[in-house]
Amino acid sequence: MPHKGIERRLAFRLLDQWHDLKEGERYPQLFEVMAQKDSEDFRHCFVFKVKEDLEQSEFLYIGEELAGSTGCPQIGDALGTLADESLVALALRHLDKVMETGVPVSKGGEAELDGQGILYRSTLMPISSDGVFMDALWGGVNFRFRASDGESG
Amino acid sequence: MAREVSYEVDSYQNNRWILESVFDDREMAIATAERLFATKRFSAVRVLQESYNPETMESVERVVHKCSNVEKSNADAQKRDLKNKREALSQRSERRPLRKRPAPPPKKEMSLFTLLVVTIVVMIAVGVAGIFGMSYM
Repeated sequence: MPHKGIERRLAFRLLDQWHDLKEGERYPQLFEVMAQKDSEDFRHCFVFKVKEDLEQSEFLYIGEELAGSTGCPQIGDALGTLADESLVALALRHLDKVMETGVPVSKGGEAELDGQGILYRSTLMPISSDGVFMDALWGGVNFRFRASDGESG
Repeated sequence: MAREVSYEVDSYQNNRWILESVFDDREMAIATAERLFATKRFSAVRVLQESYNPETMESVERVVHKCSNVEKSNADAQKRDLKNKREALSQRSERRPLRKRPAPPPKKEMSLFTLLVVTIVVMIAVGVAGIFGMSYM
């Protein structure tokens, strides 16, 4: 289902940042992405280091807006321990596509969060420690409640 | 089962299409393609719609949006051509209609009287010349 408005704007801004940071390289470098931590958009983001066993991949950063949400992982947690009903888990639904293509993937959908219907959009972008090989992922997710009783992002 | 549709944004680099990003939303994909093209880093950018049928495991691809320098310059040339044609047409309508060249005045025919006078004068001249001629012989 196509979503318009706030969900899209964050995705566009993150994609613009991703393109700016990679500066002609294949991927932006991890340290450059982590240097954006103080930006407003990074409050909706997370970063994790990809390990050979994907389940063991480790969260390096969790944005403030996500940290308070239900089932959100902590820094240092492994991907395998992620709660299915969390926002981060929603954002990672298209992880396979990113791993397969090595390019940013942005998808949205409908889901339940704390018993309420939401419309969300997530963007997953590959990053690298050396600018060449993808070994980390940068994700961003925001949502709004389906009923007009609340909004986030 | 419904088809799964995704939109891939490709850039044209070194004579081949390179995948740049993937979306589930056509409008987002087109907007991203246009933003990429506006950076002037690529000679062409396109959006490919991929419809995957999980039952048959077949996917169908088609280009739903494309921007390229060639198409842009063709479009610009077409616009210029159209503008020139419009200008030429408007100038033509402003011109005065051509006037007809005036017909030359009809030649007057020699009257009978004039002809008679001319004949008499010629005859007198010939006669006088004859008399002068004979007096010198």
